Amino acid sequence: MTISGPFSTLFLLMNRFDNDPVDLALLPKAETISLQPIELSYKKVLLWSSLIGWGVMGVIAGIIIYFTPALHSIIWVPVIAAGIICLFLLQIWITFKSVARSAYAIRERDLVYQSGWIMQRFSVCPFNRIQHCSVNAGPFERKLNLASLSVYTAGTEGADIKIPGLAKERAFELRDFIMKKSGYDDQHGD
Amino acid sequence: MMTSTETDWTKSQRQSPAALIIMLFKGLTEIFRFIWPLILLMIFRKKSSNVDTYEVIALVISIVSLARSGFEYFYFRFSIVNNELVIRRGFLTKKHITLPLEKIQAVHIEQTWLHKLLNVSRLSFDSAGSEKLEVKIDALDKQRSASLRKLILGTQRVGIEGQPEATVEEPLITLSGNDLMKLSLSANHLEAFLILVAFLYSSMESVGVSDKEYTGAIKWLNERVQSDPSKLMVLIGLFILLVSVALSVIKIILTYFEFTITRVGNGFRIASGLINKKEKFVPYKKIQFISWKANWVRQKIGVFLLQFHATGADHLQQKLQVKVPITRQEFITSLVMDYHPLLLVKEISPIRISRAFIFRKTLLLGVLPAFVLLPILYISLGLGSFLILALPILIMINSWVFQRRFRLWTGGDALQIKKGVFGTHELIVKWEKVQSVHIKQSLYQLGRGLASVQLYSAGGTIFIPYIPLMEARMIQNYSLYKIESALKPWA
Repeated sequence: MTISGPFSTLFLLMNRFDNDPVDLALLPKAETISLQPIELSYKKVLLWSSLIGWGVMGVIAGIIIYFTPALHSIIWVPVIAAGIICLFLLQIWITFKSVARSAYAIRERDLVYQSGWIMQRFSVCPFNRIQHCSVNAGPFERKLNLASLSVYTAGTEGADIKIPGLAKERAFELRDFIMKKSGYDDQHGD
Repeated sequence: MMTSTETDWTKSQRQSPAALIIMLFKGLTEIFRFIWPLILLMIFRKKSSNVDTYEVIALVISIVSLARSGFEYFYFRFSIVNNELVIRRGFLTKKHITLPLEKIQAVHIEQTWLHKLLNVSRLSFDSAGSEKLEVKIDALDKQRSASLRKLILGTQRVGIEGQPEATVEEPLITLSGNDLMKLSLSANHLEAFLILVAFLYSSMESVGVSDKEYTGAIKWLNERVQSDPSKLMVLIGLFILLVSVALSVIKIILTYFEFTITRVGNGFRIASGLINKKEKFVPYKKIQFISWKANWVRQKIGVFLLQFHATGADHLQQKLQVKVPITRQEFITSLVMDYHPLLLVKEISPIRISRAFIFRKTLLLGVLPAFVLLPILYISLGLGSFLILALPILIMINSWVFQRRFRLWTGGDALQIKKGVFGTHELIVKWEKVQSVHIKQSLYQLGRGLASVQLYSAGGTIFIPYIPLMEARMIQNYSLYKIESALKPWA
């Protein structure tokens, strides 16, 4: 098996430092692992959160229209209302697409999480870098027996992983498993 | 056996009496920062026999704060018991801090002008895994400071036989007057000038310079411009240049006077400062990655600013950031060596970012904003608004230079990046220092098989934009392999 491209130099360097050569082709590939999707009922949480957000926006728009005589015409009111509804539907569509893509997996030594649709993210957090975990649930999530799992590292802002839309029991199971693994991996290195 | 000059650290110790003065001064400075406009008003207003309620409140707050500073001094005690630094402090809220000596990674000694005057130092202790300077002793006489630091660092180095290892100190860099001048003249003078302008503006706002006075100044300038415009412009230009250069020189001398960096045991000791003398210790294991950069002028004369990105540096911004001025290229190799030798970049084919980066950046940061802003600006500026069309061109040139200069080299234990538009910016990071790895793909990147990689460390984030997806996955998988098989702790 031959490796070409910039990574072929890894072999060269490893020989220089008398390290055991690593066959890059045999490295575990995070991208090939099968992922577990998050609960689809999480869409309802996002739908209700969006409805509240856009509802507030609609009320503000209504107040602005009421106090702005120039907008008191038969054209402006439906145009603004239609605009708000279109933006709401667009946001919901994008959010649902993102939920459909959101999935996670636990490997022996790390946590994998895939999210986003317009900006797709594929994040991996090794257990031996995890500082602590937390399980959170907002009012809508509690109603649907859902929770979010947050995994924190010492990395700068954005390094942490938050997996929303997990069944509550699953979230706590994952938290306990990750904390146990992070403590073990921290002490045993490999 | 203990000699008379030695301190018995197991017994409860107070700070030096000078600490009381320093705490009072600190309290006064804090109060002054809040009530100085009030003091100005009291000085300049017409004399009146009535006592203002606000004055009474200000006086009460001042007295309470000063009393608090005094209590802080009297209720502060520290000792070393059973290989632990114990600090007890607080009057109403008692605090009891215990810090095992072997967990202390660095003891920083600092001297402000007041410390110098009173011949004392401030000690702060940096512990493992902490993201801030947890514990400090505000004032201790210099001899006791040195003795305490020696004791703590000595305890950490006790070997298998129970004997402290000899500390080998190797001076690495000192800055001469010539070096300081090179640094000063090549500094960002525009930045210095803008700081001055912002300071003057905020000062005028605070003391309440009226609109009338502003208008008067503008009128005076207008008269001069009309009488001899070219001469005035040259004079203003010269004035700005002189003030900016003078400011840069002062700033550099204040910061880097008597700068020395010494290799000591398991880290670097860095000392510098003219009025506020600082001495910091950077343990090797706290360094997450190292970067060095130079603006266009500095690159030409071989002056760089090297930065140790230590744990927590990003959270505390300036407080823990350690920047080292480098006046010779070989110093970089020497300083980086203790972290990881520089990669042999000539022997490694680099990963480069795609040209799609130029198009995408120009579109998102140049073309779209220009077309949104153009109609808005046209209403107020008329034809002058078309100048906004230069924005996409500038963004395109910037992105083009960035894309052409970006190089990423991967090594067995580290990766190295070289980038920069108007200068150079390089960094080296060991794989095992990474905390988590994220691959990002926009729909545009997805269609072209490209991706961006974010490597998060405890000292900052390393962003690699628009590289082929295959390479991004290789970086992710290889860094995970290195992190997960690492035997040593990351900090």
